[in-house]
Amino acid sequence: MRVLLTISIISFIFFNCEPNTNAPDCNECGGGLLDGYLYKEVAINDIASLAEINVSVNIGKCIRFKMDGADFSEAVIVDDCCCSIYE
Amino acid sequence: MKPSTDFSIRSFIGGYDKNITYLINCNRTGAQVLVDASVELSQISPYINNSPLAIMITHGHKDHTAYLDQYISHHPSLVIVGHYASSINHYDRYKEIHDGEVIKVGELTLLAICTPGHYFDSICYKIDPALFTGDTMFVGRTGRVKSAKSDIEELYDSVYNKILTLPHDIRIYPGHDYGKKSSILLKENIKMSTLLQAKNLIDFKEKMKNYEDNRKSGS
Repeated sequence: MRVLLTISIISFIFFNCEPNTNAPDCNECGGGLLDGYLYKEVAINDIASLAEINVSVNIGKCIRFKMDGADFSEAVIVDDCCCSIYE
Repeated sequence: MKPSTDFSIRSFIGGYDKNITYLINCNRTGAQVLVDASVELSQISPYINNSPLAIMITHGHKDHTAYLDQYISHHPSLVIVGHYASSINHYDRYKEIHDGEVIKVGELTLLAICTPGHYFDSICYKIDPALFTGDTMFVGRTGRVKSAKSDIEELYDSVYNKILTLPHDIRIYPGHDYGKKSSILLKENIKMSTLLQAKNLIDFKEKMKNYEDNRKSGS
């Protein structure tokens, strides 16, 4: 049934947490989405594409990158914490 | 499990079918991120500080992207994040995302988890301790597999080998308000949903068939 609710029902959840003091270096990961960057752990099928832009990196390391279609256009190795959303 | 920053989540229910758009607010920086474009902007506007920086699209079904043009027209710098093969990837501000990629917006950090099944381009977004599941998982059940590009075997893999491997104290924020409450802890959802208690793929298919046979409209 498709119902258009005219009244918005709003719930609000607040996550009261402490600052990320365990990994202060992660403040230096570099640019984010608004600069066009994403982050990922390097997988085996990334190796060849990264080699094409002269980035040599081991599987599992964290990179900050941009893509051009299916290929990397830019990639930099960054601290592992930049790819982790756990503390 | 601790989140990496202070943030809050507001949910707005409306749209075509009890859809939910979420507004994530970083309490340190004021940065805001949306999840899905399911409700009219007028519902959300009173809670927008300045301009939301990005919108995460959980999948390309029309009810989840219905108001995307409206959002963009009012917030032209909004970055759209979604599956690399989604039908909405023609937008200038579209940022294609793949499984396992990490998105940083200000101090907010989200993980994209591709969860095909309900639809081929389904993505869950994880920002501890929250998981935005779109139509892959609701309160009380998984998503359905009735679309042309649905696949029950992929849904089983996404739910059982991806979502259910996450810490069970993560909170699920689904794309529709179909359950007894609008969000739920994963461990509570497993207890109340037979579709999350399947022994294997065959059992999951039987449970899904049983659900469809007994389904009431709007549930």
